[in-house]
Amino acid sequence: MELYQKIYVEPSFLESPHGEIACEECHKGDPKDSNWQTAHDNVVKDPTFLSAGQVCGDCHSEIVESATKSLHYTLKPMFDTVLARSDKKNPTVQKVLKKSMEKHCSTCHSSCGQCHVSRPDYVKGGFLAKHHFKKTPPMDTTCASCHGGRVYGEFTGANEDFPADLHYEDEEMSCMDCHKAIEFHADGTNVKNRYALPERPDCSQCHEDILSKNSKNKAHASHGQKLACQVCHAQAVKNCFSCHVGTDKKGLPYFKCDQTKTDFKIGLNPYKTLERPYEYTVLRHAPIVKDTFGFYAAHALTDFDTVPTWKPDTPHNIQRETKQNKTCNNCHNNPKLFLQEKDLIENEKMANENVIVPLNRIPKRIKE
Amino acid sequence: MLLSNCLRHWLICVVCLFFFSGPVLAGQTMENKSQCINCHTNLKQLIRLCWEVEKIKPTVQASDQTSGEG
Repeated sequence: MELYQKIYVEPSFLESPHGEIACEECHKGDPKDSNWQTAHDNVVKDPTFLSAGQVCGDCHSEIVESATKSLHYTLKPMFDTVLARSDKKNPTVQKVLKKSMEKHCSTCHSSCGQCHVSRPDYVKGGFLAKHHFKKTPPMDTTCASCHGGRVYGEFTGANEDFPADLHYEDEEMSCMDCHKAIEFHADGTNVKNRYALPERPDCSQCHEDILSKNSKNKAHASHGQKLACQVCHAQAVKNCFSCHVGTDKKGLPYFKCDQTKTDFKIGLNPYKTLERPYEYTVLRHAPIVKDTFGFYAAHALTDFDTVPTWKPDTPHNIQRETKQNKTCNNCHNNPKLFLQEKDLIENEKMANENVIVPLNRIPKRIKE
Repeated sequence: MLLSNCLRHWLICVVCLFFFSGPVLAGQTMENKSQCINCHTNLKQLIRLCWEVEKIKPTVQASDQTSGEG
């Protein structure tokens, strides 16, 4: 996107409700200065990040109140999970970790503006629609910008050999058909992980009664809530290993992820709740290893073993028929599908002992 | 009589001056009202200014040590 395309304002925007607000009220700068360089002194590119209350809050106070505590805005569970693995008795390590996460992880946060007005900063911004506000953000320029590495590619079938999610391919659904505004704007202050957010979507919201004992589908009736839906209906996903962050000689942050593998692994569900009581769930390796932050602080993640590195996942590449559900015994008595000790990389056994499936918990072969 | 004629001519001149220069002045005032709008809604001007910006402001670099995918 050329620079002028990023910042061109369509004159019709000035006739819209947001266009009636003077530019400087949100963006600061000096609107009377004809010298563009000095006029842009103190200009705030995204006035909605960290001070959304002052700009959006006048009219949308209720949404702003919760949205500024939402998971997309704060990325809280991600920070919490890294800190849970860290040396909590060492204040220097805590400080260094927080700073390095701000430098690296926070580049992916969102804000009101980076969903409804422009593409996220992570992809260097640019208006979505010449400064017109989009009530429903377009997924290909907003969601895809941050979730393009894994989820978006899986959803749209960008990964070779793995077709797109049938909700996308057959039903032409977008992210926002399942992930509604109420979820994006929900207060995530006391949420331990994204699955604990009450406003998150659930397959049963559309597929009602599908797991009932009276279901005509024998597999659904017999498996009930023992399995997360994705265990039967998802395909392989991209797993990232060996991720490291640091700062180069020019002071620029860098990311290294030299090992990825597309694979499908079923594991035990470590976070059973009333809403997600499944014994088995799909797992994905999170982009973290023991020395991910080693550049900033050696041995920072001393409590690395307290959180699994293979974490529950909800792959967005759903198919009615998959390799594992084609016949009963494609899954039953097929240890390759289940996470086992031999699948783990060095130093990860302890962290994942609650999600590894022991041989005696791999479902037995059945007569078809 | 002569005085009133002069006054009448003077008044006509003043009215004409206001009549013809009014819209120009008003237009200038509108234009001066917000330079943000003047530049950001004028595509031709914006493209020219962006060339200037790109000459002066270096593009933000990404580290060449970044590798892999994720």
